[in-house]
Amino acid sequence: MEPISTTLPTEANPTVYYRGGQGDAVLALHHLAGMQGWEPLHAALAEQFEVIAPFHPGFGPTADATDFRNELDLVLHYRALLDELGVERVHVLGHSIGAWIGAELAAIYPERVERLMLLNPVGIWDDELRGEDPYAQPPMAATAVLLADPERRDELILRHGEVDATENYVQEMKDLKASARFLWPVPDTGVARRLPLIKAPTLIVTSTNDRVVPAAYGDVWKRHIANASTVTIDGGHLVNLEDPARVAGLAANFFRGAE
Amino acid sequence: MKFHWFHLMPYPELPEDFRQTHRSVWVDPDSRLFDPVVGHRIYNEYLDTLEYAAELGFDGVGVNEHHQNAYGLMPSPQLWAAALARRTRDASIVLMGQSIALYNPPTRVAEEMAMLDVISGGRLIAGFPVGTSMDTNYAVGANPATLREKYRENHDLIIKAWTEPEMFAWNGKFNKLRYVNIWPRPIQKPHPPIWIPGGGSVETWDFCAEMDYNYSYLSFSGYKRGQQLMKGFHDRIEALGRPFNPFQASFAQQIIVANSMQEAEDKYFEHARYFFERCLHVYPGFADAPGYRTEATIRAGLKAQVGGSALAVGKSFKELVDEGFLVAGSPDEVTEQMEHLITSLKVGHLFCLLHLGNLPQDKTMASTKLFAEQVMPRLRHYWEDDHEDQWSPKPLPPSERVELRPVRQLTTA
Repeated sequence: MEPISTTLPTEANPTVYYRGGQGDAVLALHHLAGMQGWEPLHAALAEQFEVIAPFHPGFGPTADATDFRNELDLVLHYRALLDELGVERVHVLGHSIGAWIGAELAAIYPERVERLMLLNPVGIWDDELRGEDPYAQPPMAATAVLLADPERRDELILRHGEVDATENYVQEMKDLKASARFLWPVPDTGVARRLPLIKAPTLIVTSTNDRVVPAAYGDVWKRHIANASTVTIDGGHLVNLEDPARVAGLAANFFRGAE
Repeated sequence: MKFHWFHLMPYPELPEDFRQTHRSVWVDPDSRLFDPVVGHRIYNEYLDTLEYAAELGFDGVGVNEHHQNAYGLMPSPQLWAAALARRTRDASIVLMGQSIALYNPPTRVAEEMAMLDVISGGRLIAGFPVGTSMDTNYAVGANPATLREKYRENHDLIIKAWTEPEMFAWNGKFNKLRYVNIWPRPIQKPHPPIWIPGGGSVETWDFCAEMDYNYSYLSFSGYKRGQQLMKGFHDRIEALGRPFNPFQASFAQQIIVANSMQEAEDKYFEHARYFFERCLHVYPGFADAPGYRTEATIRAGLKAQVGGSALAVGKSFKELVDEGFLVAGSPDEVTEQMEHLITSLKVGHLFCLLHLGNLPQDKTMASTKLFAEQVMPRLRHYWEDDHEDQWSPKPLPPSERVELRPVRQLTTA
């Protein structure tokens, strides 16, 4: 799958995204440490849906977002992208920081979001639940904390040497920086105040061994959303890489309305 | 050649097994290790030492800013600079420095530094560090994604607040101030000399070259490991077509002067080990927040700020001296090593780290006295004939400076 580049009317720099498959549109919003490209999760979903998977501002090949300040900038960015692609309504599969952005989109433009799946959502801070700091990790292994089994970093992140360790380090620092712009130093975005505006049926999925967003956060999010249910699956924060088939299956069932 | 006596102000009673039992000396060191009564003693001893160094003829006395740090007990360097401004007469007050991106509004930094310059009669050196990741991002919570951008804006605002005679409005990205018109204004015109403490960031070199500021490489790894970065700075100056001037560069070095190399080892080695093994024990996850270092700096292969010093752990005294972590020995031996340092790094200002780790007061003063009386005079001649030092303060002439009224204390029972 080849990435596509477009420059949105309100922005100076291009946004890069993937688009593949046929069916109802799914906007896949990636996690706080970036996106590996057209991932197995996207490919699995594209068997039943049209999947749109953009790099957030500042991540991967999408240019740094120095003029982005908050959720409104991000929501307007994605509204502009959907307008540009001629897509009126989407299902949203938001993961980690992408879940926060997806929830904001669904709260601010409820008419654009059909169904909303929030996977290991970042953006609410609870003093009791806390969660490990994804930005205070040994730099050369910064993403190990995001996996249920840190030993799998070599397989899932470096892909057994397919990815150069130094290049990966540079890219991880850029991607984590891009998310830190919105989440540093405590990931309290204020989204909880806006969640009651969401109209879309919502599925909140947490992971048993997510150290950054402990699974108990699922109920915290659910409390603020009118029509939401929760489920917990095995995995870490990056369960999209650890078990893409399971995530794709859950998302497909939910988006088809099969609960 | 100019010499500044620089104090880090370490806490001297970290337990022997600190390295094994605690994750980091910085950001999250156990607060229960800090005894305020010990703090009372060492703060006052440390200030005594700085004043003593000024008496002995050091060109400057230096303080710096760290937060949540058991080897740097100076969250506010201005407090010490204010005390030193009153308790010294001729030495430069080297405020090295204030992390200007952290203060809101940054005009507060402009105000406080202007006060210090006025109180001291124009003896202030204004250090503008970005600050370490440990201090800025983790302890103070500044966002690494915007830290450098904010640093530049705050820098521009402070300079304008010092130099613009008319009141102005500042509509920046990080600061919006309708009325900027600080009182007092500095004695030194257009403003106190600005020095930029840096680890190894290529942007800092360019910034110093562009603005004609002093680049201060504050390393704990010693002059032999400092070659690469200092050469990097001088090369950038040349590449940008600027004239070479050693006074535009400063370096920090741990120094021990005793009557012999053997005495230096017997009396000082344990304290140097305390510094390298306990004081520099930093959790790597706090060393380098995402975005703190730019992509260019990472790609240049430059190490994170605390990386190199870990190499000193476990080394013998002889190895530490041979590898340059320590300049040490008799006055003759120290002079010889210093000559090598000065000529190889091509620096005109040196931060002398003559206090090490948990070094007691009497040993600090003995080493300081030997350095001032038997080493410094033999190194003074470097660079003086061929280069003008444009980076030292220009204080008021003695005739315009006030004499301080002596303080008499009432004795209490």
